Amino acid sequence: MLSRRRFLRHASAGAAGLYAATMVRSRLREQYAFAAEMGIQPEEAINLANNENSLGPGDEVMDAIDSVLGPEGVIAGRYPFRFLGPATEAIAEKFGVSTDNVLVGAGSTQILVDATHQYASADKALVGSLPTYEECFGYAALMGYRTKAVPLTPDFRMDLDQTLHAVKGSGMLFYCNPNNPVATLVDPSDSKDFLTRALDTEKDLRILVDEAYIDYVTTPGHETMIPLALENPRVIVARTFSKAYGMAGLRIGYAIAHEDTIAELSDFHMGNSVSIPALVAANAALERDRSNPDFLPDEKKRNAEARDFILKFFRDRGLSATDAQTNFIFTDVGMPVEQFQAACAAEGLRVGRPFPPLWTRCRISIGTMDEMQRAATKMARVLDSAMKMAA
Amino acid sequence: MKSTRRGFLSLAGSGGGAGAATLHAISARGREAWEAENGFRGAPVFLPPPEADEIRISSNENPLGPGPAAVEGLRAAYGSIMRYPMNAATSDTDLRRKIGGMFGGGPEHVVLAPGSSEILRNAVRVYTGPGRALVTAECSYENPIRTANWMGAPVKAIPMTGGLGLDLDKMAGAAIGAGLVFLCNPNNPTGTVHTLADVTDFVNFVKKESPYTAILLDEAYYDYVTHPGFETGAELAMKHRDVFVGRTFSKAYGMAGLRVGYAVGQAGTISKLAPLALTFGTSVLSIGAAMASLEDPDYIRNEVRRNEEARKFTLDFFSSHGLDPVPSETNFVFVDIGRSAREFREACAERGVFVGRDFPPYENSHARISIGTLDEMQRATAVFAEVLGLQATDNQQQ
Repeated sequence: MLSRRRFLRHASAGAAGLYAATMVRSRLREQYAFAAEMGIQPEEAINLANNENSLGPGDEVMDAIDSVLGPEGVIAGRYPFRFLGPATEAIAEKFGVSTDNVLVGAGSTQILVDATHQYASADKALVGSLPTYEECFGYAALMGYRTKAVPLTPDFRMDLDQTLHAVKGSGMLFYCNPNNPVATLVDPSDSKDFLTRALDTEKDLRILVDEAYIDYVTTPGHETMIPLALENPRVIVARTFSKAYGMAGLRIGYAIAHEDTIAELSDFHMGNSVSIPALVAANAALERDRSNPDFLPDEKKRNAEARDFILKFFRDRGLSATDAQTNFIFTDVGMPVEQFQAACAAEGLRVGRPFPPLWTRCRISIGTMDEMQRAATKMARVLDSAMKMAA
Repeated sequence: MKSTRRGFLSLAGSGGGAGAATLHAISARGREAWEAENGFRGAPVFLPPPEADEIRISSNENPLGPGPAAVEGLRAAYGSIMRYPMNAATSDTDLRRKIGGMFGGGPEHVVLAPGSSEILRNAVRVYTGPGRALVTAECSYENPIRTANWMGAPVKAIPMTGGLGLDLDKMAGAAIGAGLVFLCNPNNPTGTVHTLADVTDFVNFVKKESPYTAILLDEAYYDYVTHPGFETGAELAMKHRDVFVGRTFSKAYGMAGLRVGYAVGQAGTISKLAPLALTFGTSVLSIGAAMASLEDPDYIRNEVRRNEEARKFTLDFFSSHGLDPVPSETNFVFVDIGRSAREFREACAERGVFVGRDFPPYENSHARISIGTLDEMQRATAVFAEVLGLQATDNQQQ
């Protein structure tokens, strides 16, 4: 049995890796070259850069992994197939769908690539907001696909009207809602209607709805697009265990779609990409959802409280943030984000990377309340010292 | 429905449609069977729960799993489970640096993948196309051929030599002007190896005559080789552009369930493969386990010895019963059973022993049997004797 305390001790040991040098990927996806040697005590370091859940997946999940492995881990010598079925069934059961409506991937990342590969091309553009999560656009750039990036509205929301124009003649709309990195949500009363209009506007269009952050949405009336995806083969919903479920390190996510669409995605999808511990963990987490229906709502509430705290911190300083519906905020920091990022790093705090073209806005992930309070102290020093310099 | 075949960059693939997915239950078969029948399909595969006394010797797995150091390394990574691999206490870059160091390079010489299948697939995506053939052997790991078909790339599958080895001379000839050579050494499913001297001659010839042809040296079974002339081709990879070695932790390291493989080569070569790799494809627990396993070479040495003993027992069983197994350098044997692999497989499965799939063009004569524990092989060979109606031809068989 892995106690919570022991788990958190492991967790803080994990923070030592923050300053292990990270590698810059040569493409758009994630630019992490940062803070290699900061000389900061690991236990003081706080990582608010990658929208992870500091609390991890919880005891039930850790215990499930631990017990499947057993003392000697013998099962790890076997290919994962026998674990894929149960995990797929558990996902299907969560949404009351058939296993033919589910495709499990190594994080929702793999689903995003599968869909981009299948539905965008050199002729048929990938459409998305600017900025949005980069995976689809990164893959499209690599493959030489046509892309159309639609600027956000002045309040950092997706510009639905412009997007409707952009989808004409296009292959796929990447609809990240809530939207990473800007944290905003499309008005729930507009969302389904907009998707329907987009599908009507372009008869060949596919829509990939990325719901990575849906468990953190606090706007009343927001709904998943899974029912639409089941009804319309041109809509795919991507989900992940990396956020509210706290399993970013395990690499597991999934698509929910019409069975014909799942078959199309599967045609490109590289199978056998998800490890046994990840499949076991997903299964255990969904089992806990059934036995403890409060788990996700509690996590949403915990996140919302820490999010409100840090939003107030910026508001009190006259810095405006977007209406965050995620486990991160997107805020004006009153200086170039690279400068803010470097100054925070010197304080032992990692915040989000720049998201062009919004050069003075920073994405800051939501950790525990304790982490946010300590982060606020550090960011206060950074902001104060910048103000003094300016004065 | 839009065609689902799409080539790399602007090269439009022209492979045929694979038809609708039929996601039926697959029982008693391994990964390779599933891949062989499903191509790229990654749709759910349902296996029945393991029976206590069943013997699974179909997928060339290490029956004992990872060593204690690796399992400890996996558990030590629990604390990073909520972190993306670049933020883990032991990061993906740490593992790449460690592996790169083993070959005299750095992290830039290594790309990780969730199993070496992704390495093979991406190699074919990068280096082949409608005008750039894949060269492989007629009876070798089929994964590259499936990807090449999907890419619309010509495939030159060179027949095996009499001893079921790779015909390196003919493959070298076919390589001139080709996009990629897939050289599986040791070869799956035949279990044969080629010495470093022969592989060096092969690579030097191809790179001289056809400098733009890439060569993938698949060394999935590297650790199990006991042949004295065999060594890794990694030095060749570090020396030549577009030559690279594929490795996996799925075999001797006992981590098939953890999904870690890698390619090593010149930084320029790796930089062509890396952009196609899944973003953060490898889990932090797997990274922790792989990293720790590299610090425990004794485990691999013991595993190789254990496998060699069980392999020798299995080979001796067949030869002492008048059959003719190919001398194996791997954790499986390929044996002429004189009848269809399918009949044999099904008869064995009825008795709780699960052996390998068909391997054309030898599907009517040869079976591939993975090496389990010695105890498993003792029980399995009793089943083989019953199924094949074998009588011992001498007294060596115990």
